[in-house]
Amino acid sequence: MDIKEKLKSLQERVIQQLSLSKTDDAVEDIRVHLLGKKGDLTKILKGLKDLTADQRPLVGQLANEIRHNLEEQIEDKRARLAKAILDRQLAAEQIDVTLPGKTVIIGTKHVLQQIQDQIEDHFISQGFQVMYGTEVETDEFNFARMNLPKDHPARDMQDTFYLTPNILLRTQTSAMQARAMDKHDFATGPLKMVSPGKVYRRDNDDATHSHQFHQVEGLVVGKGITLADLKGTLQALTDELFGKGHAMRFRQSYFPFTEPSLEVDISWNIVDEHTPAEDIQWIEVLGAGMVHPNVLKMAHIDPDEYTGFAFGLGPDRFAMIKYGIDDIRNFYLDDLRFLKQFSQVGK
Amino acid sequence: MKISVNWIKEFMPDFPVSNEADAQKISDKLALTSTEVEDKGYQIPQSTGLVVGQVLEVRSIENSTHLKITIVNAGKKDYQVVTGAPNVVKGQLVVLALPGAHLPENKLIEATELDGQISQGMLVSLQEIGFDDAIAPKKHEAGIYVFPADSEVQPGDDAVKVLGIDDLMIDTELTANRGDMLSIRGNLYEFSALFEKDFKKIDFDLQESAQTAASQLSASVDPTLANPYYLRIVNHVTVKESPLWLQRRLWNSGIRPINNLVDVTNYVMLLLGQPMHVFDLDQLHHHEIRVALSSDETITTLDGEKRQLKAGEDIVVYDGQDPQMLAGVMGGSQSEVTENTSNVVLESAVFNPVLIRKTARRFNLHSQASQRFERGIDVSNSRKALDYAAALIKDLAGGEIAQGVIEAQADIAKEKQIAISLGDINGYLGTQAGLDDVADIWRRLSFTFEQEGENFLVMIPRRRPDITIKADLIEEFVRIYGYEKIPAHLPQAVNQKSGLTADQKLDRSIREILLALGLTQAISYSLTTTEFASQFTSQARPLVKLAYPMSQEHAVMRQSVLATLIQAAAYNAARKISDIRLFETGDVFYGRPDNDPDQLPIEKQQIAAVISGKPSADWQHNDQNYDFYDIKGLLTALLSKLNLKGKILFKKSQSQPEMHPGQTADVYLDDQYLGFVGQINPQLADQYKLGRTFVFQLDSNLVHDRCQHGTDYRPLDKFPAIERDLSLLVDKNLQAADIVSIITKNAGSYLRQVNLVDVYEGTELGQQKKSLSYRLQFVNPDATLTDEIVNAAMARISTALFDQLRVTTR
Repeated sequence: MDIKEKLKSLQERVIQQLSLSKTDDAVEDIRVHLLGKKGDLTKILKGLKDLTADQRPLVGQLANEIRHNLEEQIEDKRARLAKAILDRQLAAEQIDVTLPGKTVIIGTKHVLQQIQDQIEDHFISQGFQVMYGTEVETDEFNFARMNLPKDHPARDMQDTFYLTPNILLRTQTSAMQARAMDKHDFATGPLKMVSPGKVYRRDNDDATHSHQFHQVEGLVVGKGITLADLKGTLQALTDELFGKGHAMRFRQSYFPFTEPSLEVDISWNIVDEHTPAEDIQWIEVLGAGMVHPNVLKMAHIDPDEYTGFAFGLGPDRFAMIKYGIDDIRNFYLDDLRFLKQFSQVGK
Repeated sequence: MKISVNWIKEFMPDFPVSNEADAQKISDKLALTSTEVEDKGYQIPQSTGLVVGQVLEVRSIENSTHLKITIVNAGKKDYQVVTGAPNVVKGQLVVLALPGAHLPENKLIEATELDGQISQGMLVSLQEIGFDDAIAPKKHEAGIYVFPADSEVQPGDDAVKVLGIDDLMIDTELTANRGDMLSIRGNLYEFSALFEKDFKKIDFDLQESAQTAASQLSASVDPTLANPYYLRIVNHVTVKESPLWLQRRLWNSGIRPINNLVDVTNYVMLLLGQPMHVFDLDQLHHHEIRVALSSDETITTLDGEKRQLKAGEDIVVYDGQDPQMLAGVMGGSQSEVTENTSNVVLESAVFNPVLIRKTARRFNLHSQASQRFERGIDVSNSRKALDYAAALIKDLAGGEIAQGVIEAQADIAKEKQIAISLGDINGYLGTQAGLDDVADIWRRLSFTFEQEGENFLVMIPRRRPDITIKADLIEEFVRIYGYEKIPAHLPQAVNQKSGLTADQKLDRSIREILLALGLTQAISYSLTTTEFASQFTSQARPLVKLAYPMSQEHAVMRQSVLATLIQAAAYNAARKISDIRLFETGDVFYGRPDNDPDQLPIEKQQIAAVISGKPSADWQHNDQNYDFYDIKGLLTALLSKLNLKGKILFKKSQSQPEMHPGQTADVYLDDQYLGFVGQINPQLADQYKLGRTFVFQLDSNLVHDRCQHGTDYRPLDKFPAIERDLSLLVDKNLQAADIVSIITKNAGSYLRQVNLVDVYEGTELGQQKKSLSYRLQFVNPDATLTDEIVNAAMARISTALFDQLRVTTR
């Protein structure tokens, strides 16, 4: 057999062996037997020197081609074997992707805090300051400075927890009004502030009454502030909290610290100018009014030069309306099944 | 106030209410412009099939002890009715429920047989047709209702109508300023303004006798207690039942008819808003009325109660030295009008509202009279009310009105005048109202005024004592003008700095960090019990207590947030919630060391957290109970985010009885106490029915003081770090903090981090030993670190640990 035939036969044999081999080791074995120092191809190549000078390049070229071809085939076989192993491994690692993920606990902000933050952010965007007062207040700031001197019959509206004859748990965050007016430098522009926080009243706790609840008081005092400004401000607030499309109306009321005094209702349903009056479901959401001149005077603000408006709203009541919560005590018992329901994403 | 539509129509025939739907419309209008309406409808439940009947005949039934047969004429027809009423007498006009009548509570009357006798209907009492006990006259308590003798009713008349059962009532819930709407007269003015309808004024004729009042009685008054104060005397009256028209007005207004004299005073009060009192002249020993402040004495009021007065706090009407009545609140029993009364005194006065309010509150005697005094009365009307009452008494009880009024005090203030311009109104409201709008509204309100161009001078009638300044008048204008006409716009923008303060931002950040750490925000009650209030405090301080708590559960302000947050944890545990993770930020309260009752107590902020139970069960079986290191991990994460100025130290603490003595650490920032972390004492946890429970609590004000806002950026390391592990065999009781402290002190300047990576206890180490493995990281920011330098550092550390703590490396 001449050397060319030997090469061809070797090539066929190796291809045959490769096709039968099933492991990387077997392939290596084939490679060593072919290309190793004592390998079959190596041996043949050693025989090249015995050829004639004109045959040598031809056979040499053929030998190299076969060598390249076999090397490629070996690599190819190895790659296929490796892929098969990987495929088996991946197949073995299949899991049920529908099982739940590992538990990661994220806390939930208290629903009243969410509403308070939302109100604060809304008013900050309109240039208001946020001011927190103390929960224990003096009779002077809670009542007298709010135009509610001792023995005023309207004090019955806000039955009070007294600590001493002159110190009490604030019944309204309006107590911050006078403190804010005392502090504000009106040369810098109008006073615009909101004051959120806990307040307390002598009430027996039941589904709709709580001796502790929250209030956000708002106050604007400046030159040329009108009732129309109040209406616009409150419409913007209720749009923010309840969404657009809810009508708003003012009802005559009475608070000693505002004149005129108003209750503010919004429509529970979305309405437009064509909605018949009897189809509008009004709910009371807050109290408001123009700051009583006496309140301004007590803060040494001239009511002939300055006017203002104030409003007070209850986050507890807002949350109850917004989510249909039927028991105010839920806010303070901190049942996790209750608290966790108020997801914070969106509105 | 309960406003009778029929009564209003007596004076305002065009009042636009004839059915319940109208009443609803009026109520809606009132709610927008005047005052809220509590209720509308009927004072007495509705019945049908009631007629006036005249008893023609009364026969007893053989063998029946209490039933009788009556023949009752109901106009066109006579009925045989069997009745058990003990007071039935021939000739009476009574209420007959005909067969087919519907009575309240779904009671249907049918013809029936009683003791073998046919009964075509039923003779009824007022209670049987739905009258409340509080308004039904006592006279007929024992049996059926009998119409007063001089009632203008005929057999066959519709009893529903003549008893006033079908009178629509509008019950207003008045705000404190609208005392004027506590009378029919006041409501007539209000309705006239709202609906632009005219009404008739009250007209009467007063005839006095020759005998003078002054010759029978004298009176003197402290003008700070009552002004005006008027008395009249009516002689020779006959006390009896009032006529039906008067009784009807009273019971529909929620007042029980008593007798013609008392009823007249109540009627005039309801009609004109002036509370009045009538008393028996002949029961006075001295005939010397004196209105003065109380001394330390007792008085027996009309209801038979003996009441202890407080010296100088109640207004008392004396006869000579004898206290007779609690002025404006309740009459005295000695001078009460009885069947035998013949000569009476009528009192019409306006008492000091502040004192009346105090007295009514102290004795819990909030009456129709005290309510009116408290809210303000038309002082210009008291005299007219007195005269009208006297005239009515003469009409209904006969007798003679003594000549003259005893005016002990009558210094009547003039009408107030308020100057206001169109500009004042539009400038305050943001409206574009015209001069005609304004003038028209003053006219509708029946306010007289002078006008000069854009300027008005408005006379405020004395029935409106609530209107004293320009702003009050603007409110009157705008509520009639209509709030719906107010435009809506935002206040003009002025460039002003706004936004949360640094402290407010920090508060929000703290909450956000705690939420991210998986703690849910709680808000608990600040008021708690005396026992709980001082739990979880680091030092004893005076409590902040309510002067008059409503219950022991909410009597004292908490001194720590944990005191009430722990109750939230217990509430959840009781509801079988096994994974409790809560935090709360809020205020706590301490009494002042000086106990000054006029100064605010100390109010501080705290941050607290509680975890109890174990993470929610999942299929990965990660269900180990929470332990100390869980809560400490949460606290450490919070503190590291807050970047406080100074070094955080945890020191073992055994000082707090509420905490586990072996699992509690005080938290310090350098040498400043910041709070504590640990397990609550299992004994206390048991009381709350809580399992092992772990908490921390920090002084929020200190956190604020020491928080370094912002970030100090440090460039990333350019040279690689070298890590070395250090395994130590140590005494079990040795504190890790001591080891770390020695490591850091001896490691040189390139040590960047020390992390504890393993703690191991095993018998092969020995009973009293544990193994701690630390991973140390060294970095030289300026050059590549060499092994020699790190080896030297490790050697120094090992030597120091052995020298100082006898700790060996493994």
